[in-house]
Amino acid sequence: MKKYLPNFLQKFDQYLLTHFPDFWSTQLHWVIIGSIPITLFIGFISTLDVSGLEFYIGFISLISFIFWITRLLRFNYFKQFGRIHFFHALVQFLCFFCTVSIFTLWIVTPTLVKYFKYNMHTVQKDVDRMNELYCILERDSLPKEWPLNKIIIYTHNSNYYKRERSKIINGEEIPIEYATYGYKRYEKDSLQKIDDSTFYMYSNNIYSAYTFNKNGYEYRYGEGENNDWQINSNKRSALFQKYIVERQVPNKPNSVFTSELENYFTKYQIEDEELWGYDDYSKSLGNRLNWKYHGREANDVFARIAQSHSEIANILSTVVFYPWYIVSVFLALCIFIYRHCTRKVFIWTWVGYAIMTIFNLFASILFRDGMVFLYLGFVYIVMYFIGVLVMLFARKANFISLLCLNYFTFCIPTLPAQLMFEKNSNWFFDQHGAHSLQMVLIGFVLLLISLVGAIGPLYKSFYAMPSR
Amino acid sequence: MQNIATIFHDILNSFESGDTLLALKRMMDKAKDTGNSKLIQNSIDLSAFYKNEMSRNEYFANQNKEPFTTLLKEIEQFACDIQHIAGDLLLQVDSIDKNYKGFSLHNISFEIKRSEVIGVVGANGNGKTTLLQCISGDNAIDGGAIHYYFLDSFSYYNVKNKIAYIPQRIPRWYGSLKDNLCFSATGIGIFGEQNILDVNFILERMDLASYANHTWEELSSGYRTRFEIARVLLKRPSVLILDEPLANLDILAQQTLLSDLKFICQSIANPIGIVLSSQQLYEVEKIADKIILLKHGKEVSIQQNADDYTCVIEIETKTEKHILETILQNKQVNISYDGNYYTLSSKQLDTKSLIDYLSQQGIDINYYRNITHSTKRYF
Repeated sequence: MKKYLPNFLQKFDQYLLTHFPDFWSTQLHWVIIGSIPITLFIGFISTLDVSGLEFYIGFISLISFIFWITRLLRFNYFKQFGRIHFFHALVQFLCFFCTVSIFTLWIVTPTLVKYFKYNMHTVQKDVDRMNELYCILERDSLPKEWPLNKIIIYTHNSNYYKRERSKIINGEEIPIEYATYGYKRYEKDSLQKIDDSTFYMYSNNIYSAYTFNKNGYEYRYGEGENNDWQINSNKRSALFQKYIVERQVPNKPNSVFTSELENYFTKYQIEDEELWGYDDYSKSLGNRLNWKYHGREANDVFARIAQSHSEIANILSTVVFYPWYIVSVFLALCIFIYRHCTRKVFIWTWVGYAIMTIFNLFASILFRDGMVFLYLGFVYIVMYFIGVLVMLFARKANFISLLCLNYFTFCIPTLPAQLMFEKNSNWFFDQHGAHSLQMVLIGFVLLLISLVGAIGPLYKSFYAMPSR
Repeated sequence: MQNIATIFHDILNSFESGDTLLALKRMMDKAKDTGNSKLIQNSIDLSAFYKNEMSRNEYFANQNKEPFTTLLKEIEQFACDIQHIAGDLLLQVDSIDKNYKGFSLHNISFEIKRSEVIGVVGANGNGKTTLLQCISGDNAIDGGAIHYYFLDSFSYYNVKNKIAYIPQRIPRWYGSLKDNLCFSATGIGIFGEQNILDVNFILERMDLASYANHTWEELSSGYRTRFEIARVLLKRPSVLILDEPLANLDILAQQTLLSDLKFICQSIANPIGIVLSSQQLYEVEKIADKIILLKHGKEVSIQQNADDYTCVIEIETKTEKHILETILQNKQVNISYDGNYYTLSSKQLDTKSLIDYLSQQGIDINYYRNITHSTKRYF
């Protein structure tokens, strides 16, 4: 296949082969070269807001990954018993990690594109303006009086906020700024940003309409009906003032506002589709607005946009980073281990893993405690360590010790997190995820150090030992 | 060990007597010994040139001797400064034992020196492969010791780095032949231009140049063996171990390979030790400096048994056994027949006398071989 490539690429490949064979054997250079047009293509497609794009990109990633694996398995510097340099294991792992990261990052590309395509500030502004336009156009439907005792304040640092936000999108913890438009406008009817820290929203429930929201706003617990969070009435009045000003009867014809609203529909590609849930129409103002102004479609579009922003905002925490990191490290370690042990040992590693998992499940059921998993995990780590030590004094390759080395290698990046989890079982689910991120990064650094100082030399020593 | 002048004289003789390919190969080996990149490149180019021209005109080499002789003289001038390092002890196998799956290898001892070829022979299932795997570090030994004198520090990784073991069933490889060779050469730190030069050299030397871009599927089993030898030679091993390398080769390829091995191990600058097992007894005996005969996992002392008979020959004839017995009854010749060949053993006659006597008696002999000193007798 190489012969069909341009001459300069062939020369580049030959240069890497004869100068950096361990890097060349990972085929990372082809992955980088190949990923540039593919990423651009995925980026372009992502701008078109095609539904189900993630599935197709995932499929492309999988196919690319399999193709890369078939190329990767052709050459193995380590198994040729060549001269292994000090950082060989580290370089190999990093190459595998980078390659896998590229494939997994493709899946995140649509999210990234949306993030850059729709600036959050603009979206927020547009949503607010659309809300205002709805209010202006439906001014006759809006209540004339505000039920001031029904204003709810949410704050970022309150337990109530944590509980509340967890309800927002399928139990995921999403800050209120990134709550979907569906939540903001449809479920609660509307959430409109007044300034950098203030939102107001009107509900489709006539009895709790016009709920107001302010980040970090002064609040008191236990006042008002239903134990809602109550806003200080003085400040509350100031919030209303702005809204009331905006909903004054305009001095322009309705067609001007309708046209402006249509422009937003075009901008966000909100389709004029048949609405479902017509029965709800008569029930609330919110549903009437949805029906009349394509609110559901708008909800979907803004939900996607808001979700994307939420993911980017949390990219170093729960939504994208951890899955991406865990998948990338796991696959890179799998490949690294396969490249440094025999096929038989590699297969038995997974068989053993399945057996241990079943055993753990039985133990959990027996002791009726999910923490048994964790405790057994520590026992296993100690066992793996002893198993590896045994091999240092062995005359020939010990099958169990090789398995232990594989398992131990898998455990290293998780060690700090496990230790911290043991110290404080609630720690891992800390709202900011700062500690968990630190532990994950420490685990990664620990893995890199181990690859140079222990794992690499151990694989080198163990793989060469007589097998019989 | 021949001196430099004799070696070059032999090479020239080979060329002049029409053994052009052999002379080219030996010339290339000597160019390699000099370590001079320019000479090596010239030898590659010259070899390719002659082969190319000879494919068109069979008599080209006889008509154009000058390029060859000129380059050979140049190489000789450089080769005079090369220090001979043949004869160093590389490896010592000291009374090793190995038990594996009910089979036992017992009390095997021998040494391997530089430029030495050791043949390991024996019937199937007598421990040849087990012994080779013990030496190469694939099998752990249960008793005795193996001393690797070519290692600075012992580790199995270093053993496998310096010992090239080619198993009977060559593992499959992927990609092009040349990429694989370049990749192997980097394994011992040969990078850049030197890498390409070494690979081009070995391709030309092993007659693989026209197969450089071929893949595994495109090569015959004989060329796969050649490739494997080329690959391991690029790693400049101290000891080369081959398990049944002749098994997949035709007669001509066997001869070529064996002569290649002999010349490679006798390199002036980089002599290596070779251990090979084979069922082709006569072929191995031709190039081996030492033969180890294994029977039921034990080494059979050839010298001790060989004292019994002064002459042992193997003949093929259409004459029936009872007629042979009648003819030879007064000569005290022991006759055995394996269905194909008769083995005649005598304590009184030497080979010539025995053959002469049979001819005088009118026995029509289609084939005969003196196996007095061959391990064939012990099978």
